[in-house]
Amino acid sequence: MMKNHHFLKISLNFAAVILLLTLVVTPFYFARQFSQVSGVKSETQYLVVSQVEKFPGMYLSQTGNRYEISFERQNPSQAYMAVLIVNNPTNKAKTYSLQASSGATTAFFGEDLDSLLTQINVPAGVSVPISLISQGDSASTQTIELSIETN
Amino acid sequence: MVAKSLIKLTDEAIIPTLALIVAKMVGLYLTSLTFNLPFEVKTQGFLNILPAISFNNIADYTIAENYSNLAMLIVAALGTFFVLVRARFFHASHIHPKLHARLVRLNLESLIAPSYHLYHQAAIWLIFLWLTVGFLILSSILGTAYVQIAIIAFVVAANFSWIFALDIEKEVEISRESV
Repeated sequence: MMKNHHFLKISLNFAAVILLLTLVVTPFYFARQFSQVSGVKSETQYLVVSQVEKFPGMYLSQTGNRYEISFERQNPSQAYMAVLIVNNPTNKAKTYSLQASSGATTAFFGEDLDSLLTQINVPAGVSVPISLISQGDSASTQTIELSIETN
Repeated sequence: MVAKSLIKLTDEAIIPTLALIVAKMVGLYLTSLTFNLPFEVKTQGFLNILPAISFNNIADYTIAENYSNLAMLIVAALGTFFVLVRARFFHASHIHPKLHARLVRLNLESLIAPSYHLYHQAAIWLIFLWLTVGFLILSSILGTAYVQIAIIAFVVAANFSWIFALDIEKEVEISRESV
């Protein structure tokens, strides 16, 4: 009898904690899900937004799934943050991987120079930046070709 | 059976939960109206019962998302501010006698609250405020929110937490003196 009483007490308190956590988390789940981008949701695996206009002397051209970025490097080693923004417009998390041409310039997901990610898991509706780091080549004019694959 | 504090916290969490959801909805709606952003309302989520606002492009979505997040932050900050003002000036344990007398005269004694009520309420509002900060920081890292809003949110939450800590300190001093 006493054992049942304890079990009931633990269960009720556990349920109360779950209820409290649900209440606390609900507005943020709602905030995350409530707005979205429509139209392209079911048609494309990702959206790419160019920010190259923020970088003087940087140019972007696109042929199908391939993006070519050329720019003038001012220093022997230079990083360009959030040159492109990739958005996951689908309802599910997607894993994107970057395929880039080899050379002095490397493309990576995010903005962390200590962790040059070439593959990333992106939750539904979320955007991630693609940044560039260029070093080790004396030529000031650099070009990188990259494509984004969905896994 | 269930711990009193848990019931009290759950009870206190209902209003902030609803307030933040309404702030997000109203924020999105007002932003769409103000900036003339076309949108359509769809259903989504479990059993397709949750409403969702769809924008035509990412630029519109980003504007609406940022301003509605700001509305959420304002509501969370105002709620916390209200509780902290009550804790600082209308706290039963250390309300100024003159203010107490004036409130009694004006029949506004209900503004005075005991520590048990105030601390549960403040804890819940601060949790919501810090979660809003976390949500904004995460959104800005992921590129869907402006960093400025996340920074403002962090500064507001840190200052409110500090004010709350001062009140707890005062309360501890009072209880020490009374022992």
